[in-house]
Amino acid sequence: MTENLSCEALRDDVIALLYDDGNREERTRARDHLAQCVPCRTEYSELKGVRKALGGWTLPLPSPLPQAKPRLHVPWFPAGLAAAAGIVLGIGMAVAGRSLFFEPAGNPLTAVASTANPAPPQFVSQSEFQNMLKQQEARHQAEIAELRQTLTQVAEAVPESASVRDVSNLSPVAFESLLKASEARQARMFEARLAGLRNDSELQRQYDMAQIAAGLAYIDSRTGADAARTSELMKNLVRVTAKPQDR
Amino acid sequence: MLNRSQMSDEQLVEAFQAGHVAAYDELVSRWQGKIRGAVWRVLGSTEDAADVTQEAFLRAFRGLKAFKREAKFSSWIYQIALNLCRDALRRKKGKSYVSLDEPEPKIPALPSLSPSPLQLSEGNQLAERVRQAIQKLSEDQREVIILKEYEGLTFAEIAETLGLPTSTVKTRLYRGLVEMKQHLAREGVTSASSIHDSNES
Repeated sequence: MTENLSCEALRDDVIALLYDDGNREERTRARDHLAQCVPCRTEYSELKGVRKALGGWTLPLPSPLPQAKPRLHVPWFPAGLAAAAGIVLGIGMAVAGRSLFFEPAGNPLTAVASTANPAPPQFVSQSEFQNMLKQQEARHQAEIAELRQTLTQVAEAVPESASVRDVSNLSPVAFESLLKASEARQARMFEARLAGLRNDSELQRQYDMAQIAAGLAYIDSRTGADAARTSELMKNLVRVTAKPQDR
Repeated sequence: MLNRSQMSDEQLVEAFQAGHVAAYDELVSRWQGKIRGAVWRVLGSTEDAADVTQEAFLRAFRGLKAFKREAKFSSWIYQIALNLCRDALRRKKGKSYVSLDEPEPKIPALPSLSPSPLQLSEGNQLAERVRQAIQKLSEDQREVIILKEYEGLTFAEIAETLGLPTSTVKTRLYRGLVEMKQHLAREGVTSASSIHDSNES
């Protein structure tokens, strides 16, 4: 009985020795006790075994986060916030009855209104997306070259002095011809400007789509991406809360 | 001027409280792995662990201005996370009517804790049995064992985190280990042998 009381009284010291934590006196007392108490020595050995078994329970390794980077870099639009905005935009468009997905064939980069039998929407892979962008760029280059050629031809067709010469002496036919040439030139310039605006709008749309894809991939990859998700959220939280000089 | 990564937790907290909110970023990257690991072990679910960890850091962010620097930041964030774990377990218990405090061997595992085929593979058998045994411990014993065994906190740090005297921490740890020994023995894992030994027999 006396021995049992002593064992119980020294339990904290034995635990301190088991974990090599606590002060030296505790551990020395525990060592002295274990040297003369067989039951406690056996239990100590068993508890060491339990600790060894506990070491076999390791954390699952996180899977790497998918690297979906948008092709365009817009420095004033932080990626995390852009992804969130993209998702909101996507949901908003879906609610509004619009489909903002790449079509599998035909014109690959158009926003299409929902129809009675819409083609099943799909996201393209990153390499396919890159190819589409290259094709789009090649098409634009060809259109620009064609436009330049047309403008040059128009300029050559109009006499050099037309813009400065006195038109009061021109015949009505010649005047009308000059007027038409001028109108055609302005129409082409307007078209070129319009094409430029369309191009800008299309690039922005592609960027938004890439952000939506990245955002969805980010959400889909929940397993293993928890750390990144928390980190990203906290970074954004800090970013939006921090004073400008502290960023 | 110190780089943020070179600053101690106390210095980072001080910087945050002085208005340098970005200091919190460093605290998050420094502690989120540990907190997530502890939460995962207490809850046994990766998905819940992510949510609880995130919530813990959000709460800490909100409360850090008023945080008194008498305690360590790490103890404080562990405390927040463990409180959230307790809430989560209570909610889960309410839904599934399964008591995690009940040490009976017939207790069914929570749905999210069911072993997957991967977990049952040979290399994970010991981990799976240890996990099951830990889930059968009382909440108090489980927390102390996780903080000591896996988080490597000292007795004093655990005492600070849980708001307990050091002697209570040691007692809970001892009782938890003794219960673990019994649970593991029922699972076929003897305290002095590996899982392979138990399988061969």
